[in-house]
Amino acid sequence: MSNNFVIDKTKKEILSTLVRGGKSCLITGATGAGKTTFCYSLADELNMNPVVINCGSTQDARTSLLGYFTLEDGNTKFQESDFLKAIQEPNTLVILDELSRASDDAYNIIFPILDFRRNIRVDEVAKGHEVEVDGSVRFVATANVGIEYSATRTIDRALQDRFMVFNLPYLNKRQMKSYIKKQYDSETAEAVTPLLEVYAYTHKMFGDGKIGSRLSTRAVLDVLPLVTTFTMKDIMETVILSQFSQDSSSIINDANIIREYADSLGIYN
Amino acid sequence: MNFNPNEDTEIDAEFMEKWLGGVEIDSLSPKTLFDLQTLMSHYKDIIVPMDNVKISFPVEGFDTACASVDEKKVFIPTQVLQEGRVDDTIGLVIHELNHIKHSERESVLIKACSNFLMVCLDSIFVKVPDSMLKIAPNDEEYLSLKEIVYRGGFDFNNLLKSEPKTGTEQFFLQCLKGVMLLLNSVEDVRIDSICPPNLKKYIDKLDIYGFGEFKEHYESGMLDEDTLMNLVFRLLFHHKGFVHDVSVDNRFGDIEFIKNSTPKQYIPTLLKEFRNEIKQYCEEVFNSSDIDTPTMGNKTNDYLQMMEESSNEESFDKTLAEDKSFSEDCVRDVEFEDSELNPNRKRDIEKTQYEIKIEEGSTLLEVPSYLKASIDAFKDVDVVDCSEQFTTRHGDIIVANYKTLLIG
Repeated sequence: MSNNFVIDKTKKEILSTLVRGGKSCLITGATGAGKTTFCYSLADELNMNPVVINCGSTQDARTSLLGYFTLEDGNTKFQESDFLKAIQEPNTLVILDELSRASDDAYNIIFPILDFRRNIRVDEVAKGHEVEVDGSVRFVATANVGIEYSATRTIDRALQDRFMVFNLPYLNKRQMKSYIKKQYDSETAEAVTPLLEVYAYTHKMFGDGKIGSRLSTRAVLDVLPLVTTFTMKDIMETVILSQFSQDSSSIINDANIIREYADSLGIYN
Repeated sequence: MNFNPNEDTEIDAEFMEKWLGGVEIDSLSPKTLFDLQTLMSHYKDIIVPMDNVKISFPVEGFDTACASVDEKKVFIPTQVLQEGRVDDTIGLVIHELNHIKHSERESVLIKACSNFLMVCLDSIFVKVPDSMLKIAPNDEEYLSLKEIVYRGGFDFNNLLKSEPKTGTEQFFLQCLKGVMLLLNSVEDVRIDSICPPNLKKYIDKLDIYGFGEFKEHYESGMLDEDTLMNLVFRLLFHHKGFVHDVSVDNRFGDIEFIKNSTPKQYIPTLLKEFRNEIKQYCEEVFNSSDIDTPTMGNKTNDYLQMMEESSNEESFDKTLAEDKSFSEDCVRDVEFEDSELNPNRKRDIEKTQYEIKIEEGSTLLEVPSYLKASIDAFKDVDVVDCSEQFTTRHGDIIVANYKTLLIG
């Protein structure tokens, strides 16, 4: 696995071993914690080709997961979906992204693929109506689980039984700094320190129930290219605080609670 | 102060408005006051995130902000905010929370101060009031203030929690407050000096306001005399950098020592340095007090017993043992100048050992010999109910019941 991802070493090795051995794994965690990025790095580690299937867009499950008919030279022709192609392609790591947003129909399609049958009946395909999953194909999925997330739901028990579940927590500020140092340089890591403090503060305040949301790992990483060009105050006001409630009719809102802390760090001096 | 939200109050929120997301505080409606107080309460999440601190904004009963480290409570008078001093109120919140973070528990300080006060009072000799001549050992004309005033029966820790019930309690309370004020002035300097700069700017602003009220008195020479109360203010503003006070500088001027010490490290030095001002202060408090005529208890010295009992309870508790050690540090090698009231008399107090029975055991305490004599004299006092029959001239028999005091 590439060194550019920060995760508990033992957890990383267990996950890697399980997936290599054919066990499907479900990575849970808050949005922006780096679940999808982690899946890519897992593919890199296992030397497999990653194919991401966005389960949040599987409301029309058959079309999204199996395929659709097109008109070609006056004849209808079944076009296999990316998912269907991927499960037949040797050495593919299928990443079922945002699985918690998938529809029931999508679950019903995915179930037989993940259990011992490792095949799926697709009436539209000519070759005996059944598509076999290639023996070298592996599956990982990601899911947001918890009250913080909209349009998600608890994962079907039957589906959960088909996965080993791993939780990927948000990185703490020390891990973030170490990651930024590796990905960028010490100067950037130093410049972003106040932001990492704010990041940690939002997590504490969120955990204490004092604010309604928190900064994600991704939200901080996204602003890194800005830190050398813009002031921390500008980044706070324009990018970071826009992710929090800012009811202008009241002094009490999440953004002001975070501003208060940012002031203590000297961001508003 | 009656708060009228419609009153035109000049509002100073210069620092706060810099981070308030474009909101300008131009009036202090009750809702705005509440919102500001709620927002300011989050400084506890910044300064003492691991502690469950309660911040209150009382509208009456508090003239100044204060904190209880023992109870983890902070009190910020709403009046400061009502006056429009928004940044100053933040300064107060930050300062008091820093007490919670850095300062010693007041129960430990009270114990150390009361221990020190006892030694201090034992060095102040005054003419025995007429009402007390009967209890003066060996008909002594002079007794120490401790002998005159302290007869036990109250807990020093409770003095600050409730209204004093007697003149004696009032006296001790005043003395204790004086010493605690001295300690607090140095502690204020210490905790403010180690406050992170971005929070300290609020405290600095508050200090400028405070110095404005002090400056006139200082420059007029009103505070020149080295009294305890004058030194409290001079210490504070000298170390805050507003004035250069030669006397303070010579006696307790090492700001690095203050910054780099814990209260348990600097307090013994502080008390020793200003012992004579504390003594003088206690004398003045006594002279202006209405001390009750004490009654001689039939118990051993409550104070000594209290200390001894607590030392037994605490024997296996490292923290409490450290507190006791700190308390003892505060009085170690402290010598007072002779009392002005009785400059020619300084009694050598011969120490002796006295055995105190405590439930199933006994322990030896070192007490002044005259105290041992008193204890010995009274410890075997026995009250016996007596009854006698008398025959009157007319041959009637009458019975007289009375109590007899037997000194063994």
